[in-house]
Amino acid sequence: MLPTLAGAQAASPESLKAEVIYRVLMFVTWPPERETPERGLQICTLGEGSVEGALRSLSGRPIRQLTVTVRRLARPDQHAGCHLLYVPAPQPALRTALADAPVLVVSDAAAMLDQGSMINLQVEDGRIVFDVELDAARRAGLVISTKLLRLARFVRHQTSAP
Amino acid sequence: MTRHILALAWLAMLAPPAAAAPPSDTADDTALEALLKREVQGPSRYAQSLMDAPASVSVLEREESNALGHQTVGDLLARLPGVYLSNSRSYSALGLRGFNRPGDYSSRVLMAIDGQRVNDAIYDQGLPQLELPIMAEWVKRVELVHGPGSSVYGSNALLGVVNVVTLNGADAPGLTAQGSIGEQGLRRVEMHYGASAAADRDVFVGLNLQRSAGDNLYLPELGTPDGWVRGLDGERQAALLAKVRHGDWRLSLNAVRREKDAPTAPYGTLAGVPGTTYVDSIVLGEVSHDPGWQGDVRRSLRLSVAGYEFRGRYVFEQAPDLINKDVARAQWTTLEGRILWRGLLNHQLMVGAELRTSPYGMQRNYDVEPRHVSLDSNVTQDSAAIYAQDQWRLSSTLHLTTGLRVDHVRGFSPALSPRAVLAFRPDERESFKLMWARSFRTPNLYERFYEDDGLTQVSNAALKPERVNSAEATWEYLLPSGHAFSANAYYTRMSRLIEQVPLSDDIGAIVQYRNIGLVSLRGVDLGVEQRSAAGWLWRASASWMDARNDAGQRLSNAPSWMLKGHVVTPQWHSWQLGAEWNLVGPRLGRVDVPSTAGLNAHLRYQIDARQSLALHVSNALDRSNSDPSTPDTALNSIPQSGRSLRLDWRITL
Repeated sequence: MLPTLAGAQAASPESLKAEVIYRVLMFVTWPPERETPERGLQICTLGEGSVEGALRSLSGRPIRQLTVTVRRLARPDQHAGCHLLYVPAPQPALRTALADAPVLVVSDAAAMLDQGSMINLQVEDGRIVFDVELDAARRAGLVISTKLLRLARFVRHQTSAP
Repeated sequence: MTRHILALAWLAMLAPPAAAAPPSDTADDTALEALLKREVQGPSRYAQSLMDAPASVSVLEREESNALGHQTVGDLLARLPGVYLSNSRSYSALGLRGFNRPGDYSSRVLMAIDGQRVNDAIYDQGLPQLELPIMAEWVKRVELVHGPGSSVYGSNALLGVVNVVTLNGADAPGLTAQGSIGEQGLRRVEMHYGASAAADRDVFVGLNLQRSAGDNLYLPELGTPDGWVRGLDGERQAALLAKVRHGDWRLSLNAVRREKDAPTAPYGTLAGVPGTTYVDSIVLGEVSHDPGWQGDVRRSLRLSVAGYEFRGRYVFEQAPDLINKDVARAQWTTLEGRILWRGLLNHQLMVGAELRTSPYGMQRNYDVEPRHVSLDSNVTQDSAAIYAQDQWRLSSTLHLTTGLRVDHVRGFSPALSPRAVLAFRPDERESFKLMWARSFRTPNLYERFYEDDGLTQVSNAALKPERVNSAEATWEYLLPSGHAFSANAYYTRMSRLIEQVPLSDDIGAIVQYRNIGLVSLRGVDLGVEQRSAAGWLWRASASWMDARNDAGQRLSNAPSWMLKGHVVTPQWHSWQLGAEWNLVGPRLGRVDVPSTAGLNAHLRYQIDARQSLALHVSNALDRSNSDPSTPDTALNSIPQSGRSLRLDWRITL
């Protein structure tokens, strides 16, 4: 009796990942100066990725008092204003470009947790799971709720308290 | 559940009261959790969601068993790598890892239905065919957890745990009725009904009635006038499953009554004479409560009540009749509580406690006329157990599961069952697991207390629990084309194995169960399966097994190799064909039996959206296969059924 959502059919991985990313956003808090309703909540994408199209459909949806907008970056250093940066593949210049800017870096490539991703989505046993690089998120000034952490598959962190 | 503590067979009982209301009405974390449980389309689905389980698990689902025309859970199990069934024409038996001692009642495999133990309190029986109170049509999937599982399940889980996950009303809505007629006088009616309302109410009911006359058997060793035993292989069975879920509560009732005529003249009864029969009945009832995760904690509680009765009737002489009867009856009640806790990052902890009491376990043997009672034993049993398990995520690719259970059965010293599994998951498509575990089995009441005036058996109250130590390694790999590969290697040592020991050299000598055996089982199971984009579905597996005692001799009824497979075609203009085959290497016995081959085919025609008709051929090549003989009969080997045809008509309303 595997738990299934009532009436839910198997969904495409892309749309499910985008939906998970949207839900994950509810558990992340940015520094107060970044959470201003007039500027909305910007989801940025970098490079070609299969999830990009699905992320576009999140445009206009609410997160707290913010409204989601989606835009595409040509280079990592254009991240000003982004709250979330989706990176489908390793980007050599990513770390230096972001420094410790308050941007939540999200990916779904296997090795990306070691290469700057803070939330990394994977498919495991037919379901979406995610890993969290908690230290990197904290360095960037982001607060991730413990409610989210306990749903994670794996949380990487140095400090013991979540 | 991203942190996957549940994924073993006990998953069934822990499954949450299905993700409740629509996401918009619920808290953010509930909505996300529901999302994380949704299935993704793609090849990973074929891994049956168990690559991440802290054990090697083989699964067969309803869709496949349906297309292959299965009727019993044994039919499903026979498809899984490393499994071989045998049939003594009194009872079926389940073999794993080359271990299936003739005359045993599969007491070294724990059989469970939705997580509830089936093995009874007298013989530890958990038999796979019509003895089981579940029919194939009511099964959502069968999970076989390879290797010892006592660290959670307690006694009996030595070689593996079989968990039969039954359908919910939502899985099979409406009323489905099926009628079958077949050769050997087979008549069968099976029906099931399912309904669900909202997300938290669900009902499923299944009913099965069947009988067959069985085979006329040529058994010259039994000394009947012309060597034939006719009309003495009949079997009659009735089974019922009813379950209801309402919110956090689940209630289930499951029962079976099976009556089997014994054609093999067991225990020196008259050959070729009707009236020697076995009747087995099981009733399992359970109520459980599981409110799901509440913050970091999830508590569940279950209370189950079970009863078992065996009635054996033996005809020793006619005119004047000498009828002997064996009766065994037991009742047991189990209360189990379990807490899951995920408050510590990268860990999931489970602790549980189980109390079991069996107020009576009665065994009686008597001659009817003149009345003479040779056995009248009644034993009360109690046990208590606590267990804990931690699943620790070491990294995104590595996790370590450790568990320990302590069982205290009254009259025995406490049994410790530890278990450790290291699982490495480099990516979605591949997994490696290393496992080590210890398990135990308490001697059962039959082995300890059965004694019939020195006719067949002497009791042995001094028996100690059996022990198993096992190390195993598993590899699973998935290709983008939908091919899935698996390999499982094991080394299992059983010590203080309880075996029947003849007390003299005579044929038909009195036996006693003793802790004498030291057995090692080594082997490898290899499997491959594919679901092609065009709708074909096939599996094949090869097993090599080496089962020996401490003198280095091969065990009886232990093949050293096995090849099996099945294929299901896509539906082609209303037609669909499923075929399955088994090749089992030679086995030792009183007389060695040569390798056996079996091919079954199931051709279905969909008449309209609601009705289908199917023709089933079992043993299509009409091979004369035999199983090694069991100790109760004088036969050299037990002949199995030849080719037989069956017609199924099914309608869904």
